[in-house]
Amino acid sequence: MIRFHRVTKRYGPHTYGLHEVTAHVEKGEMAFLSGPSGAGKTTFLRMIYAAETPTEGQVLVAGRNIAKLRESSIPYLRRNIGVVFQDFRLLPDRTVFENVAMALEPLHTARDKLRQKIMAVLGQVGMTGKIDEKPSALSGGEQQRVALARALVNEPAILLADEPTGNLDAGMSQQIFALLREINLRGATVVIASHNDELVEKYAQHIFRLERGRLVNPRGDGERRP
Amino acid sequence: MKDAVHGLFGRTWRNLRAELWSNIGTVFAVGLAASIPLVFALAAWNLGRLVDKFVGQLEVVAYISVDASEAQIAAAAADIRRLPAVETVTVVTSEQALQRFAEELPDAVGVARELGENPLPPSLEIVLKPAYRDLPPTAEFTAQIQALTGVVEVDDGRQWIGRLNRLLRYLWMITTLMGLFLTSAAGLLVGHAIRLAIYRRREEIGIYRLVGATNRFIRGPLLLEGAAQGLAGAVVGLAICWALYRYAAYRLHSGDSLQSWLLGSPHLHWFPWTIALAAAAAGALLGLTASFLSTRRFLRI
Repeated sequence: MIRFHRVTKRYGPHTYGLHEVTAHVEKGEMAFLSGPSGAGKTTFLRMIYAAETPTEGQVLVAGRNIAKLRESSIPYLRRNIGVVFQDFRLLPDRTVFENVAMALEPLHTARDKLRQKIMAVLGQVGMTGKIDEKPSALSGGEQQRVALARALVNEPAILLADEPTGNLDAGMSQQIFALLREINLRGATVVIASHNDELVEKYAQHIFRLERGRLVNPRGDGERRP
Repeated sequence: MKDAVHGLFGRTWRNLRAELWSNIGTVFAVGLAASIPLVFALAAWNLGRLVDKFVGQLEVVAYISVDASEAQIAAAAADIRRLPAVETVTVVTSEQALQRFAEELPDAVGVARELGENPLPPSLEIVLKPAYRDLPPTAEFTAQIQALTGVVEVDDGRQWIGRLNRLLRYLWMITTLMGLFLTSAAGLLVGHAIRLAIYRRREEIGIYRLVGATNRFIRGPLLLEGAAQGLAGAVVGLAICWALYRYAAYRLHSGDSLQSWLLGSPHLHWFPWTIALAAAAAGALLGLTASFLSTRRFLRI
């Protein structure tokens, strides 16, 4: 599903985001990127949804070469990828419903179908009771659930999570990871960047450890768990 | 398609409402900028109508020597009647001229009487045929009359028409220059407003990009907002111009006798609705163009 082949991202003559990274994530896997801040986890994720292009090497996502993707094709790639962030990125002046609806608006979904889909995905993340609330009225965990709902409402094949529990306490983090696992079990390929080692150890099937832009295990298959 | 159009207008309306005061400010600034060339254009247009009317009603007057005999006057009138452009020729004797003078300016007639003899010369009032009225008399026509025996001076109004046309040309020139300058300023205002909107909505735009929105999807409402601002600005400009026109019309119609004497009874006219509509459409087009340029420059998708 996701293939990095000797990918290097250079920001300056001696500044690397990623350096000669080769990694494969198979369809339906739940993979983790671990490592300290600045290791290249976010750069890795950004390349998957074509927010960055490699300086060298190839990134293939669902068979499409990111470096060769035309700018006009990027939106269509992103419709198959859901992304959640540490800071949730919800619009404060919109309700839970409206925030989730943002992901369906570019697809021009009919109003009745839009409502149906949003209610279903909010049910999935346990937020149906708060559709008319603004993000400021929600806890951090609830906001992340809404962000997850927005990422999932298009039923993407790939879900990327960049430090999804970075702003949450241990209990909430546990709930979000359990939810991500559930999403993975429903068939989505999930890639999570996290430095929460405890949760990574608990949920990981496949771990890529990054340090200063390099994979600790350079073979590309990371560390697999039974 | 229906859902896409509905969504586009829905998002535009939501954005316009969310930034209501900033949009109202932009619309009024554009309206003020648009009103100035519109006022000048209206003045020029009215002056143009006045010139046309003046030309249409133009009467050529040939003044005859005070020494000319009645036979000479009648012969000159007959010669003029034979010219192809002439419809009628009316002989006004010195006495009739003095009588008119007394009727029109009763206060000044005493001065004329004190002179002892009638100072006003006889004249021939020449009305041109309708086909010739829309054009000022040619120099050739005036020269033909001037050459007749007894004719001392011909007042064909060309001097006045020339002056009015020059004034009209200057007025249109000022209108055009001011229009170009203020239209550019209005375009910059809309462009700047769109740039600010892009900045204020950077988070929203970022999320839309993330969920797979196309350039067209993100740019669409911004273009519509620019067009709406331009259209509303033009309407405000027309409204300001209309208010000034109403005020000017009121002042001119309630005028005193001096004003009536100087200007006759001028009736100001409002633009035909097609021109007002074209001005509004031009405003919308200007807003759309400014928004397009602004999004192209500042919206990196």
